[in-house]
Amino acid sequence: MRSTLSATTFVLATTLFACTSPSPAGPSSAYQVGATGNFSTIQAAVNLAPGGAVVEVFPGTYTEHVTLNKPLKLRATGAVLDGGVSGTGVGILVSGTSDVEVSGFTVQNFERGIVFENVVNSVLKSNEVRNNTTKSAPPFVFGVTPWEGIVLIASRNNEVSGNYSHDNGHDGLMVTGGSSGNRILNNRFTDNGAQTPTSVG
Amino acid sequence: MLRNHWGIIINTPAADASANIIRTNTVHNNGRAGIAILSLTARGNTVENNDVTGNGLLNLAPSLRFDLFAASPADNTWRNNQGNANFAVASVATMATVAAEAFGPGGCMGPPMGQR
Repeated sequence: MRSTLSATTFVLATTLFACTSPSPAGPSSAYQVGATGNFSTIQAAVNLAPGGAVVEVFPGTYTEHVTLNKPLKLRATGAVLDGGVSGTGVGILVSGTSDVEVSGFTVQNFERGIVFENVVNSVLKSNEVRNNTTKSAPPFVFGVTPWEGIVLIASRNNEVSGNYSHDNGHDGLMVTGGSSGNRILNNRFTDNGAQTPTSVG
Repeated sequence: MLRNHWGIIINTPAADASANIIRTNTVHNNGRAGIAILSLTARGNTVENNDVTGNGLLNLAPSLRFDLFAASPADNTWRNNQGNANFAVASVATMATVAAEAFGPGGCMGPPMGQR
């Protein structure tokens, strides 16, 4: 992949690697995150990677929010994205893009785990999404209070497969905003709704 | 402890949800339905070959004790799922009541979608 970079991009990438890397680059990808990768944060790798690149995330706990708005493959092995004790917002937000892959993560302790918004032809697979709960004060409002594991908003023709969404504040998976043509296959959704109010549907 | 909610929900306050396929998922121990299509305008969705049992534990409207729940079942395809469905036993009058409750004050479909 490095050979495909322009000279300017390569210089920029090298500079950023030096600023963010705890160790030298690995052999298989220019965008590796973790103790043995080029980047110490996922977002730094996402920001620099060009469309179509693979971002590999190595085992470890990452305390950050990740926003992705270009066609990348974000592949994790043993990586935990953790919002912490009072984590808010979305763990991984994919917005306004296509041909994305998000796989292999554990996403926990945010308000929403993984959100696809205006995303098409993408894949969300083999993730564990758990313990994402609202930090808002009651009363909780259905459709407004953020407390889901996985959410598809106005997203089309995506595959959601092999995920395990559990122990989130409300829904395991919500499909909304005119999402269509999505394939939701071979997932497990259990034990969601610790914050479920009984006064709303 | 009964602490679970919807497993999979199709909720469409802004636009139709159409042609989604929900297949071969495992959905257990949810307080309301395991799989629910709450939108009255959702069409062409297929829900098939899912294991959806042990849901409806909270016995709350609109899904009550059903594993599979549809506000507008005729517009979507439901087949070969494990679990009990509201549309298999509901009369037209019951469906109208359930839909009115879901879309009424305090119901599932009342407020617009918000996000972070």
